[in-house]
Amino acid sequence: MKPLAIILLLVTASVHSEESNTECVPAVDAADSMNVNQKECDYSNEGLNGFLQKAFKKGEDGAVLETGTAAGKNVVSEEKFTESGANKEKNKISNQKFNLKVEVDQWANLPVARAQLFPAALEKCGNGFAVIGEKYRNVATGKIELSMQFACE
Amino acid sequence: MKKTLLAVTLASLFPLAAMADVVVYGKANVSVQNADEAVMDDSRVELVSNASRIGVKGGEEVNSSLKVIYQFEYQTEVDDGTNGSQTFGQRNIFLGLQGVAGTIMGGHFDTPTKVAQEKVDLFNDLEGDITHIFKGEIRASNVVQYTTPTFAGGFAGSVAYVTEENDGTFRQNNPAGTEPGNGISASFGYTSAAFYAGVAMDQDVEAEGIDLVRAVARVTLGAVQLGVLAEQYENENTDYDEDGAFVSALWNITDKWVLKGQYGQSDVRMFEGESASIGLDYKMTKAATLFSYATKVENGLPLLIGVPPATTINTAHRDDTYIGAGVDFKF
Repeated sequence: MKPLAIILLLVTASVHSEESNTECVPAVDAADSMNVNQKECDYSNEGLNGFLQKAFKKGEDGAVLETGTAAGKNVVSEEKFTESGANKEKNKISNQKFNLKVEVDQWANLPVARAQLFPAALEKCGNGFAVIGEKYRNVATGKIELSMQFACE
Repeated sequence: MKKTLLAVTLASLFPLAAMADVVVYGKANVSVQNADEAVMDDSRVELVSNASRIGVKGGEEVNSSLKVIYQFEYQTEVDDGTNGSQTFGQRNIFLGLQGVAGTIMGGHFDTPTKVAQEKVDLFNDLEGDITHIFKGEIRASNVVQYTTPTFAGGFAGSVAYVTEENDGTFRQNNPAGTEPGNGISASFGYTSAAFYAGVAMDQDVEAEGIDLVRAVARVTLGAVQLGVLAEQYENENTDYDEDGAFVSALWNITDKWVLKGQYGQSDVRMFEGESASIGLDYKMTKAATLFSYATKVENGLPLLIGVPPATTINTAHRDDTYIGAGVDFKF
């Protein structure tokens, strides 16, 4: 009985460690799963939803809607039309500010969840980033939501 | 069409204030396949739209412990533009309240039993879809459902009450002489990235006197995902008591290439039903996948000699082969 209990504990631990790395699936797959308990993901820069979010972004006259390449899809475009292509790309990244969110069941899990946001931020920025805001709150599901605001260097 | 014009057009559909809480999503899944079906004299090439859809979902917090959630999803036929007389067909549609005690929602959506298949059907919406040999794949109307919050690291359960409505499709399914009643569909399972196990049951959902039990499991071991599903189906009206089983395997050969296959054998939907599929996917981008498949569906019903294959008496016979390739684009 004891070995069985140990094996079960190991399996549970391995399952939990993999679960914490669960990535957000595309919105259509999330909807298809009909899982109302899945973690909330930020689709504000993804696909058609990202396109619409940018289109309706308030106070950004002349914002350019980027829906083409994978490299450009996470970019909040603030560049001017007169800039060269190379400068555009550079400014897109350097001007980018964005939020990343994560939800946890309990406060004790926050440090690990928080640390997971940094590589995601670095992936978006490429050259580095600064944390310019951090917010915690309880959400309706009883979980704790951490929202961090980043700015690319 | 210019993107700005498209944006303005779409803007008129959604209130500006609500945009921040709305996720607009969809996918186009289209394939070209060669269908060699027993009921047809010759094989034919078809363009098929595989549950292409567009939807909106979202929510708004009422307070720190309560949230309104919703989803409206519609299917569109990319191949011929219409589904019968409809441009859009309703898929999962609901309005609900979510709080610390769980989620209650009402609408027209997949029953807990259907949802319990999780990701084990690797050819979902294609000719290899498990719905061709199993039952319980029901998107019911007039449903009220309660879902528990996730507890103990991944456990959750759902109970759906499929209401009796005289003008609904539910009554039409009842055998002559039986009174329409309410149906119950329920599921309970454990979900994580690496492992899933669930059990589900339907009682009087398909029709009065028809019950179904389903058990599903999935395990992900590195690049390999294995799935299994078993189902028992019982019709008290006809004393029909059948079962079936199904296995699937997926191998992420690289980040781009995925090889997958599945096989099922079941008497639930048709006598000695069998379905076998193999496929190879290539992920072009995060959103776009090129896929190919070969599927064989057959059953034990005889093809009557001397009777034209396409006549009603022979359409139940299946010895069909589908080979196709297509594109799946999630937007």
